Amino acid sequence: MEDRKDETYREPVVEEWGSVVELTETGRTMPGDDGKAGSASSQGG
Amino acid sequence: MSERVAALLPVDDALLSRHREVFGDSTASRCLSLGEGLASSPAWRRLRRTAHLAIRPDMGLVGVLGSVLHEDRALLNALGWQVTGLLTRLLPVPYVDVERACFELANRLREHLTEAELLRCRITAIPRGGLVVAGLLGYALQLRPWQVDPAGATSRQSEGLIILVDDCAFSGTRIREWLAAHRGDRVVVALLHAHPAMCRRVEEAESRVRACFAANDLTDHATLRTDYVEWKQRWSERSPLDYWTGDPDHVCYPWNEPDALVWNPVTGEPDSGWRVAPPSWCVKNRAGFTPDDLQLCEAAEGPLRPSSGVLWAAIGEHVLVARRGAKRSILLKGSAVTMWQALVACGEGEPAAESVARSSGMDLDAARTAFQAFVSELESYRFIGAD
Repeated sequence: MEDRKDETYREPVVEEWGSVVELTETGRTMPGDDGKAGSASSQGG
Repeated sequence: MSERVAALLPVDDALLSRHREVFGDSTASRCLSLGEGLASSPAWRRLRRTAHLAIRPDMGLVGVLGSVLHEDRALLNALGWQVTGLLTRLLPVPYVDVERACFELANRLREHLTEAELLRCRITAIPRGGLVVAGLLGYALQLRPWQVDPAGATSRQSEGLIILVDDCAFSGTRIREWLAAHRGDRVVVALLHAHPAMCRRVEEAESRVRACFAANDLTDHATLRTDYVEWKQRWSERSPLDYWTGDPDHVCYPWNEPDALVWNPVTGEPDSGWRVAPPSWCVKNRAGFTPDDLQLCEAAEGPLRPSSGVLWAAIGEHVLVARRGAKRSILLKGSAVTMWQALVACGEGEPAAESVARSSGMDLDAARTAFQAFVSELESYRFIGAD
């Protein structure tokens, strides 16, 4: 890690922030599995 | 409107290890290769506006951490189901197979066309992947240079037979668009990969198309869906002009990984989703990859180590840390950032405390005390130590 002095010491802060989503419920039965092969625009492959 | 979220995906190495030529020989290298493929995705270009992509190769963990706009949420969810689906159906096509397929196409064309037609026909291509095929096919058929007309300049004329080539066709949108824009009245469509039903439908629907075939048939995996009938009906209504609706093998050429769509219920339109082929395999993904987009999470071996299900990302001057199974992520601020950096760099308490003392200007005893308190707090969240 970078070894440099920080002259202005700041108190450590640990705060809860947002939700955690685990993307493990995969496969063909997951609600929201709504996609297919193909192109969205006419730019060519 | 946006949502603070950390979405974590445990990478299924069993899927990656089927394709060591694409992803690499070790578990960690395969995970990193996948991360680089994800970072080259259209989906990531959307999410990167507000979020960060992190990867922890030794633990097989990938995640998107940050804020996600409401209209991008479907793309975030797709990191789970779409990436798994693409890897399950992945069909890498190396150059040697491309060459073989071009000679197969040449044989098929000789079956369909007379010698006289072959001498007068022109090959044109659907950009961009078709251009690669057009050149190779021109050699395989021993055509004269003027017969290879990849830009299609002369094929706007109506006379003469045109061989229209592309690397792959799924729904057939590009074929339909080409036919609408060009006047050639006798067209043979030749593809490296397509589903036979798509080819049949092109022949049925387009009177100008004398034949449509592929060197390699694709398999439709959509039929395995539990909701196949509803799914097909839904997408057929969304894209009524498509020749075919299915979910075929995910072919990946050395120059092109085709798009895969995600339905966006917020906009009511499909979005281009995730890609999985690493930049080392695919030119298109190499061009779209920015290494700085991928935050690599590495932790030194030692008694103080982030738990195996933990992923983190620098967000501005802060660090966001998330753990599989936790309800909430945590944001580290102030000297907690320095302490986290010391922890992952050292893996042991005393060297980490010394590092904190050096970088923060604290005396060593104070740094030890502060670092121990920090460690205790992280242990209370089960973010370090055994899972």
